[in-house]
Amino acid sequence: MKKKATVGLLLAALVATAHAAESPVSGGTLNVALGSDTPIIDPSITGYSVTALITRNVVDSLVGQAEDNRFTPWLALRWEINDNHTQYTFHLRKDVTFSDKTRLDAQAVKYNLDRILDPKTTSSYAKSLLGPIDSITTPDDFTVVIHYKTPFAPLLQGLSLPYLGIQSPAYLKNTPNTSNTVVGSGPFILKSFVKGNGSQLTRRDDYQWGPGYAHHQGPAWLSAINFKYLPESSVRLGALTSGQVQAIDAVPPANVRALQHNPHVSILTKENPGIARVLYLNTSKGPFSDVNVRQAFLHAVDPASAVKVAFFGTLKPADSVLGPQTLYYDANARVSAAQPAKQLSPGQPLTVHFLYDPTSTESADVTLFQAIQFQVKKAGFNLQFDPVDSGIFSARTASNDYDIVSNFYVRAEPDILRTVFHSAYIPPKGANYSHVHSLDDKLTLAIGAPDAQRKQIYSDIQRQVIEQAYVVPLYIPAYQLGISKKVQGISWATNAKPNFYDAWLSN
Amino acid sequence: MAKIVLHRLLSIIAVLWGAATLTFIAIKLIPGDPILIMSGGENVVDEAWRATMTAKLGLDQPLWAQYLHYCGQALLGHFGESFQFRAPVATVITTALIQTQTLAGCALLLAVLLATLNALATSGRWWPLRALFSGLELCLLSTPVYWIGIILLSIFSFRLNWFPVTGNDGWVSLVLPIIALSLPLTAILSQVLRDGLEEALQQPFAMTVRTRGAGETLLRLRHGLRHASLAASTLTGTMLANPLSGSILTETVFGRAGLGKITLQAIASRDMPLILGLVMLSALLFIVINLLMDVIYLFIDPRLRNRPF
Repeated sequence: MKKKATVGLLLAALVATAHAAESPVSGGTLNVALGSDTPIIDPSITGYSVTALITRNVVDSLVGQAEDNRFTPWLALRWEINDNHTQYTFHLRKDVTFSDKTRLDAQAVKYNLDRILDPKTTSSYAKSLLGPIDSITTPDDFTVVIHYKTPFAPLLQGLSLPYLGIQSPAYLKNTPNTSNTVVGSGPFILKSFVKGNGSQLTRRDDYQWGPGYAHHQGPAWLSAINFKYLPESSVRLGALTSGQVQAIDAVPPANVRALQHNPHVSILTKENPGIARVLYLNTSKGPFSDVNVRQAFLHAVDPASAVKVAFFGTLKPADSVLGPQTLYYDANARVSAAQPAKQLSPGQPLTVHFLYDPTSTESADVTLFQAIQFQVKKAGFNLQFDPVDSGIFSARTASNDYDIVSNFYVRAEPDILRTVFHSAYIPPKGANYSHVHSLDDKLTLAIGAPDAQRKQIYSDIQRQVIEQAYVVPLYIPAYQLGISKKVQGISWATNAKPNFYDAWLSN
Repeated sequence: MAKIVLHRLLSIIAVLWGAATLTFIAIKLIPGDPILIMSGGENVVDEAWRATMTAKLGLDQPLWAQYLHYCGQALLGHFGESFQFRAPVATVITTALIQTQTLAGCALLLAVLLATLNALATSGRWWPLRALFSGLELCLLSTPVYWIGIILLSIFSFRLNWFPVTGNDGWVSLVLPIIALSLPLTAILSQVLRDGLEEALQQPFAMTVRTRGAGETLLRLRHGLRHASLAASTLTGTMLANPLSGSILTETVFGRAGLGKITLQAIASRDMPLILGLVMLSALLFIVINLLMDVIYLFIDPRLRNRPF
């Protein structure tokens, strides 16, 4: 036993020295092939995740969020929050400039936030992250105060996302249409963005204000990053294995095994925080208005075996509405810990309609849905697939013509539960596809409650969602990055996107 | 002459207007609210945002007013702003068109060249060669361009590393997409051209040329090809319009920005100004190409020159 421990220690020491021997190298271009694209690159006016991935390198945020969900300084060196979450005071760094050489100060921050709040900007996602701001004041050149009338706790997490990254006011004022360009204070400059093709980023050599969670200070190691849009997954894979690109996203599950055996390539996986991939059961009409029927359906689904079939063991089945990476995730609010369902009286199979958009659904997801269709058939459900395009999808959810829809949301802040379970967001106003009304008080209270109380409330909500069978958890989505072994130092943002500031290429 | 030109011009406007009207009706008939689609995904629609967007996109107007406004603006050449890209339709289309036209133009040129060589070399010649080529053409014609693209990439890009896959940069990245797009075109053009040529070579005029002592090559190049190219040129015209308006499969495989993908996205997100702009463009392309074809006929076939319009 002791001997084994010594060997283990030795091995650990060897691994450690092997890592220490390789110190970061400056220079080189990282080519990344992405499976999806965005029509707009300005993060303040779009919710596309590709925009967040690319512009994370171009704009800086007031605060950073480390992988363990703690907040670190970034553009703000420190901040104070009053007890009831109605006033946030940020003290900014004084040495920050935008890539157009203008200074980042309190006025610049205020200009950005005011722009997002202005209805004329038509910002939707970024605006929702800011919450019900009452006013923004700038007592001096490097202090910004954000005031709320009602308590709002999720602000820091929202501010840490690229959607609320600070752009140059001088650039914003001179650019009537920002859909193709971004100018920020980040470690890279967006040289070009071509819709349907990709983006080119070059390093800023005078960058000295990296986020607090980063492993180094000063300019980024990479001298350039090229993001290339390659929608066809086999082409993306070929580009990676032939060395034409050094990283790809959305590795097809069927190819993960093969890549793992490739000596030049490795796969990095980061589980998404936020709402897991779930089926929302429409509680407002039809069979699922009866809680017993919902519970019977929930317990008829066996996510573990279905997910294994569809994703070849590359993703974990979900047992709860939130992913484990989410703040205040409660491991006890599990389906397997809930009361088993009452037996339904035998009779005619119940037909339920599952609405989905095949163009935005991966083929592995369709396999998963088919496996579930088979599983619930044994419990007396006839799961009918209604594949429609995005237009008909929104029309049918707006007119409440469905029993099931499915999606997931990436967000480390549990306030995301409000987006999917608050009655103010019943379609067409939002994504409360289950038509839940019973959680409104708790969700509203949790927005501004003190931290300990928030934790308790979110635990209750998670448990209630499972007990009431509002959703059927399926799997925990993950961001899978296939990378060449030459690429080192990639870290993860809390929205499960890779960070390239610390990344470098070994020779 | 002036009458002919006026007549032509009026019919062009009528076709464009018809296309615009039909598209407008079709978009309004299919369900789907562009504002909901735009906010889709991670967003929550707040009422103020919805009201601003609706007013901004002019969707709060009655249908007839939207239609009249649209037709009026289109006549002036203003196609409005794309909902999804938040940029003028003309800019979005022009950017994509520049990418697509090089690809489509080169692919067609290559196809015409290969098809001509192929037809000249194989029509009415040694039958095993002819059978081999027409079999090959059938294969290429039945193979999806998507698959040809992936095969070309895996051999010439992933294995041999001759051409990069990371497209839109320089002519090297154009080679494989051009070949992929041109192979099926070559196949169909070859078949039509060869049939035409074989038919021409059996005509009495071919006999006349031969009796004059002209060689087989001269007969084929000078007399046969001209006769055969009438049908092939009609086909080439339609084929030119096709890849321009939809080389989506090639674009997807090679990751190129182009018109095909933009069209698909525009329809899926009910981006009305952009859809109408794209329909106008492809209607115009078909008209212009047809017009060009009519002119080319006159060059190819002298008999048509004296025919009254």
